[in-house]
Amino acid sequence: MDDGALPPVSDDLLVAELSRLGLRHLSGVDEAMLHLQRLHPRHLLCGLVMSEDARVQMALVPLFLHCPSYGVHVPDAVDWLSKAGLPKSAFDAPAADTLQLYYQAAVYIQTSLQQGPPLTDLYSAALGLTPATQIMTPQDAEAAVQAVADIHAQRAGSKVINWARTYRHQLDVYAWYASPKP
Amino acid sequence: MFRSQQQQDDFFQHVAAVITQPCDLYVYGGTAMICLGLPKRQTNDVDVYTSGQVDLRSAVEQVATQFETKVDDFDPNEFVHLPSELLEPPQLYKRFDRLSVYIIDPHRIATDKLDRGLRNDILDVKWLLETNRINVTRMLACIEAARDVEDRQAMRARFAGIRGLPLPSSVSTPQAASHSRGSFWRRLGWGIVVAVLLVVVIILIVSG
Repeated sequence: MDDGALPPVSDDLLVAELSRLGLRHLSGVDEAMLHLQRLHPRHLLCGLVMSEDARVQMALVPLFLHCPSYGVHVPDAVDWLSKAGLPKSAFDAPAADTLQLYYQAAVYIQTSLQQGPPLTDLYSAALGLTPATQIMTPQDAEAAVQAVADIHAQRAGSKVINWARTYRHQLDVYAWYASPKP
Repeated sequence: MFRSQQQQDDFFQHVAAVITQPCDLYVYGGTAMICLGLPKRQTNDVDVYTSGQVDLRSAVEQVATQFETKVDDFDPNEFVHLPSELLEPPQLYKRFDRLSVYIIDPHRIATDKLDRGLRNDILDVKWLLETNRINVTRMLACIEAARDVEDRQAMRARFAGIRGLPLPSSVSTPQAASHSRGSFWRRLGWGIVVAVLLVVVIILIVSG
C-alpha cells in the first residue's frame, strides 16, 4: 500500500514487518500484527526513523544489510521526511538526515563485512565522505563510519550519543537470529 | 519474545523448573531494564551473570533454546570497575521457586551505559534518572571513580547532556580525548623543565 501519505505506524507494526522480512532480533513481535497488510518500504523506513524507541530506530542498519533492495526507497523516504517538517527529537538529527546517515553507515559497514550484494553508495558525495569504492580495508571502513558519526553528532547539535557504535550495535544479535540453528 | 516483564518472568520460571538446587541469577543490560520496568522494546537476548554456577548456566541455555533466544552470560571483568563502596548489593527482583533473580545496582548499569554511549543507552539512563532509580550525586561519583573507561570526559558530557545541562565544550569525542591527553603530557613536560631550572637556580644561589 502506498497512497503517498504516511499513515501512523506503531512500533508493533514496524517490528512485525521486520519479522516478516526475516529480522527477528527485536523483542515483542505481536503475532496478530503479522496478518495485517504489509507496510510499504517507504512507510517502514520513515516509521523506523521516527520511532521514539531507540532500539527500533537502530534496526535500520540490520535492515539495510538484510534487505539491500530497500536502499532504492531511501531517497523517496528522505524526500518525504524533509517535506514533513517533523520536530527534532532530543539528541537526534532531523529525521531526513538521520535516515541518510544510517544508510550511509550501512553502506560502509556492508563494505567491510563483504557479505551479500553491495549497497548503492547514495550519499558519500553529498556528505563529503569517502566514496564506498575507495574503501579497501576494515580500517578504511571504520574511519568512514566514524566520519558519518561525526556528521551525525554535528547535525544533532549534541555529542551525547556515540553514533559509530550505535550503527553497529544490533549486528551481533541480528546475525545470531539470522544464522541457522541446530 | 520478551514483550513484557511477565513474559520475561515466564523465562525465569522455566529456568527454575530445570535447576535442582537453589541458585542466584544476576541480570543486567536490557534484561535488568525490563525487570526495573522500562516500557521499551529490547533486543532479543538475555543478559545474565550465572557466576560460574555450571548447572544454572546449563539451565539458562536449555530454556533459551526452548524460547529461541540468545544468551549473554556476562563476565564482570568486561565492564567498568567501580569501588564497592559506591555500589549497593544486588537487589532481589523475584524468587521463582529455587531461583532467586537479582538486579545489579542500577548505578553500575548506568555507568556502563554512559561509557558505551549508544542511543538506547542514553535514553535508558535518562529513564533511570527520571524514575529515580539512580541519583545524580552517586552517578557523578561513579563516573569519577570508574576504572578502565574509554573516555571519562565523554561520560561526563553524556551525563550532563542527559540532565539537560550545557555540555563541557572541551571534549566528548575520542579524537578530542586524545588531544586532551596530549595537552596533559605537554603540560607535564613544561612542568619538569621549570622544576629543573628552579633546582639549578637554587643550587647556584646556595653555592655562590
